[in-house]
Amino acid sequence: MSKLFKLDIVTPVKTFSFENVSYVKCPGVDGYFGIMKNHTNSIINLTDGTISVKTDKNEVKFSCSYGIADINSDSSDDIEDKVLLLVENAEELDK
Amino acid sequence: MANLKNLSERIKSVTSIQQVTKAMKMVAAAKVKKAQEKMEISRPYSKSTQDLICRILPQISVSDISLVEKRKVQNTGIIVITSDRGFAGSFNSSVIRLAEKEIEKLGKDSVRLFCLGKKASEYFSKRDFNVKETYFDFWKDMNYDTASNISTSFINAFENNEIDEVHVIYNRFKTLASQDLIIEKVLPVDFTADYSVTNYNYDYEPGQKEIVSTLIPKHINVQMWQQLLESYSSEEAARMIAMDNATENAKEIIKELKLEFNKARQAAITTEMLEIVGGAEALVD
Repeated sequence: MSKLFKLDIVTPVKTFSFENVSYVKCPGVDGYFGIMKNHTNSIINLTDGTISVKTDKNEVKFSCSYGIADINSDSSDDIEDKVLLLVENAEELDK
Repeated sequence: MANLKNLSERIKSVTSIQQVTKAMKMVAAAKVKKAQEKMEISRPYSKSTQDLICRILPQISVSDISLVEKRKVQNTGIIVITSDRGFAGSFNSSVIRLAEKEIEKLGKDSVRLFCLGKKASEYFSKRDFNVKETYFDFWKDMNYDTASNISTSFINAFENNEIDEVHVIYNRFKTLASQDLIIEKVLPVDFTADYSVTNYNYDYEPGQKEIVSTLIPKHINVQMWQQLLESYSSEEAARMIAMDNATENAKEIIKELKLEFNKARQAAITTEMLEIVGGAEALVD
């Protein structure tokens, strides 16, 4: 079974979409946490820091100011995993 | 002939005005398009924040969250969104007129004004209104931070009980040829119409209340951002129409002037010919 999931990083001025993500590291209020496929449904506050997105091909990093991670919360079917990061200010960092 | 020279000068100046208005129209059209794109991009974010809020809010007690709580209205904050520059038809004056009407209805002393754009700022500052804050010269390089700065300031005023309600008056973009002038209540926020009940269990980190109370200001920020963009695209659309009309008018005037110029020229030629003929006849005699 595939261990990949979809990820959207949504800001008011831009949306970054990823199809095949294996792992995301986010700056939570109590420290960094990781998201993989089949993560429990949760809504988590994000704080300033770096978001690292690992896809099946490469790794991309974003700066992040305040935000919210919405993990699988509105997927009515359990088959597809979807992670939504609502971030007020996100910029892709140089590789 | 002096008359001919005058006319040709006038034709020249009207033609250059026509060129300027035509250029302004093009610029405005390009700006409308850009603002529209920005508006489109901001929609997923605002929709997702609202969805989240509407899913969490029904599960908690609303009275703990000050931005949602309704209280007795003593002072009202009114945000008036206008532009910095004119040349946009009745765009600014209609906003100001509606704002004045609202202020009159609520009582001048119980209104605190947040004026956005030079037009409103100048108008209300000069006339002894209760202007709490003015923002201008930001339209040109407006970004998301501008919107969050503005909303932070009225959220603070709301939380300090300086104002008990906040309304926004602005032009909402409808089509290129028309705008809707509207008043919208932004604080306290009312989500009840969009409440959605779900049966899922989530983990919340930190608690639901903390998440919602940080999420709501963000939602107001993005709303402010969208309102600014709506107003900005309406302004440019209004300017486009105004400049289009001006170009048309200039065309009309040039046509009339040219007609007059040709008539004058023809008259001059006729008199000259008559003079020559008269002179020749005199020689023959």
